[in-house]
Amino acid sequence: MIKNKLKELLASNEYEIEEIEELFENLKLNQTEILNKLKSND
Amino acid sequence: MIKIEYQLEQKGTFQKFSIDSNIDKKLSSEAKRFTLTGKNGKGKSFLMNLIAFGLLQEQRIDNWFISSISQKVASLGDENLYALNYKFELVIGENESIVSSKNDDGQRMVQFKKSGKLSAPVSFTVLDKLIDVIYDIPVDIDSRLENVLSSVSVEIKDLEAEIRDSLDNLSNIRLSATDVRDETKIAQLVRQTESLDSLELLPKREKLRELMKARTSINLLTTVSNYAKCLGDLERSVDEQSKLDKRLKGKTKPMGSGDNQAEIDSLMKEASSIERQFIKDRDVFYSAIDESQIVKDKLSELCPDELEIIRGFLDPIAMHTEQDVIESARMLISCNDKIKMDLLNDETVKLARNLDLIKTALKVLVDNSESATMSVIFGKSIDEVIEAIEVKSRGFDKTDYNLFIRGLNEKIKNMSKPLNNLFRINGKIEKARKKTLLTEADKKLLGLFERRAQIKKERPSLEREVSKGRTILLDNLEDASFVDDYEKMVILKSRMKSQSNISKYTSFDKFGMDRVQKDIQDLKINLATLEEKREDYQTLIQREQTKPAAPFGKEKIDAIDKQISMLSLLLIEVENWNTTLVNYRKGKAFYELNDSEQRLFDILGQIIANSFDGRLFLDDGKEVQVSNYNLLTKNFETDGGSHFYSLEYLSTGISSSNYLRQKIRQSKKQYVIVFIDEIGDMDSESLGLVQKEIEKVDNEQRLLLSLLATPSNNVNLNLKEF
Repeated sequence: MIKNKLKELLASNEYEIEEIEELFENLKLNQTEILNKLKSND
Repeated sequence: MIKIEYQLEQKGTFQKFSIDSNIDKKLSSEAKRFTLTGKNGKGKSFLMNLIAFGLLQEQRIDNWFISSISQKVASLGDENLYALNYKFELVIGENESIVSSKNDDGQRMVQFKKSGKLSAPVSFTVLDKLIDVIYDIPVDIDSRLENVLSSVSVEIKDLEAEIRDSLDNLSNIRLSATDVRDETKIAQLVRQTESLDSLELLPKREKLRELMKARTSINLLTTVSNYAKCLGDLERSVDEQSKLDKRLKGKTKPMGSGDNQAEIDSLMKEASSIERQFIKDRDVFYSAIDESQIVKDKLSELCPDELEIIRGFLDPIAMHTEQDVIESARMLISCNDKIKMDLLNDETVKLARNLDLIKTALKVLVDNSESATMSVIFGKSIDEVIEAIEVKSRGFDKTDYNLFIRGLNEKIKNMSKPLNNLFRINGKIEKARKKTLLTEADKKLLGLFERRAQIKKERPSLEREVSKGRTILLDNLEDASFVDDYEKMVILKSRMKSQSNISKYTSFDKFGMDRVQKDIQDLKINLATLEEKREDYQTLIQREQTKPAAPFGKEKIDAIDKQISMLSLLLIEVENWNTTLVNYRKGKAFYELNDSEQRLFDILGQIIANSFDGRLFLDDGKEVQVSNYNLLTKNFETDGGSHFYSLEYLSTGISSSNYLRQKIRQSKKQYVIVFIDEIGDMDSESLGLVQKEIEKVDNEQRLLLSLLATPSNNVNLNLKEF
């Protein structure tokens, strides 16, 4: 519920849903995992 | 019905616990609803915690359990606190049970057992779909709200830490991608270089080449022009000489010159000027002689001829030359020096001079203190002595002949020196007068001879110029076959002037060479600037290429930047929430909520309403749906906010049982387990209402186990059915 509220806040600041969801997915990842994810999607 | 066994050792205490056989026996019976009593520390809570832990309830992430219970259940998994192994089998139906265990190796699993056969281990999610574990304590509504707020506070703090970590991670990644090769920039610089080449450098280099060619053409044109002129001059010179040779054949060059009167006049003018000055200087000399009769007499005696020569030099009948006068002057100076020596040795002159010296000395004594003494010596006053000397020397010659003769000699030199020039000029006049004057016919003939001589004199230079130009043109003209033809060279010059690449210059002075030079110079400066710009682009490209490759593209960097912005926004929000929550829990009054506070209060209201499962049981037993709890008015609100139920109202009477009943009743899952600790805090009426609710679940064949715990004076744990 808290996270949903934060997502709403971001959405009201005109961020895209996909970007917001990706941000919250990244919250669970460490630096190496984020880096690998960025590289793999590049 | 549950069959349970465990071994528990609290780390550091060496105390070991296991299930009491009486308890085990009762739990193994058909009964499901028990009141659990015993002294504090005898394991009432542990038993409930163990079964909850065994059913993986520490994995719940909602606010279903209050935080103190969640923490106690989870703590059983902490091997730093406990050495625990257990096994229990919870019967859920005929020949069906749930088996939960943890062995000495720390391996923990939950399995279904059907007809004696164990399934693969199951997860919390699977269990959660099947069983609701209601584990609570009967606390008043304020404490319950405080528990929810505390739990939310922990959650927000955890979230803040997660956001900070993520922000650090993304910032570090962003930093690693900061000073990396920018392929877009390289591509842009390459494009800029190409544009510079195609639009500026290459056309201007070509233009410079054209201008250089134009300059070469103008150079050649200049050579052609000069050559053609020289060639024409040479042709005319040869022709003229040929004509002159014919004309002058057999003739002799007249001697003499043309009219030289002007030259004579000029020289005469110069001579007259010197003579006029001579007469002035001569008169000054003779006047000076007249100042001393004695010198005049002696000079007339010693040099009478010389004085006469000088005096009559310019008389028309005079026969003496300038040299005679110069010689006479020298003689006069010699005589003067002799006369001076004679006069300086003359006794009369000496006496006059000495008396004069005495008189001068006495005049000095007149003003001196010695004058009286001197008067005694002379027997007269000094003034009287001076007077006597003046009388005595009256009529004596007092001239300073040293000075006089020196002045006289200076005048002689002054007068005679310019005569050397006069001598030279008169020589020239004499020579000029001796020249033969020609007739007009001879003059003309002489002019022709002189013209031919001039042509001959100029011919070698002209021929050299022609030869030089010819050599250059033979090397540079495409067709030099007509190089010796003056007319064709003139036509060639005209054609060259009209050549398209130089025609805009050739109408100017020097065929526009200065202009083309200036255009070349300007263009070179412009090109140098452009080349420098190109060099800069190349340097930037090389610098960019030496950087490490970017770990990912610019799009990703932009995405990271965006995520950093989003996280920063979230961080500010959760920090504000933490502050707001702390202030609220401290009892600070809130009136006008800012946006952030409003968002937090919205969430808290929903979480609190949710922790009550969105339903309230009123004192009259009626159930109402609530969607929000307003933290400012302390009211529960129904969907749409049309009805309010005040916290005050709920806090009185049977609020604790109300909440517990609600929690039991809201469970709709297939099986239910109910653990309520600390029921001693409830009055018997409230407890009765809760027990009735449990009975209802049991009657629905959904209850697996119910333990209501309360402290007692019993040393051992005791289970009693209700």
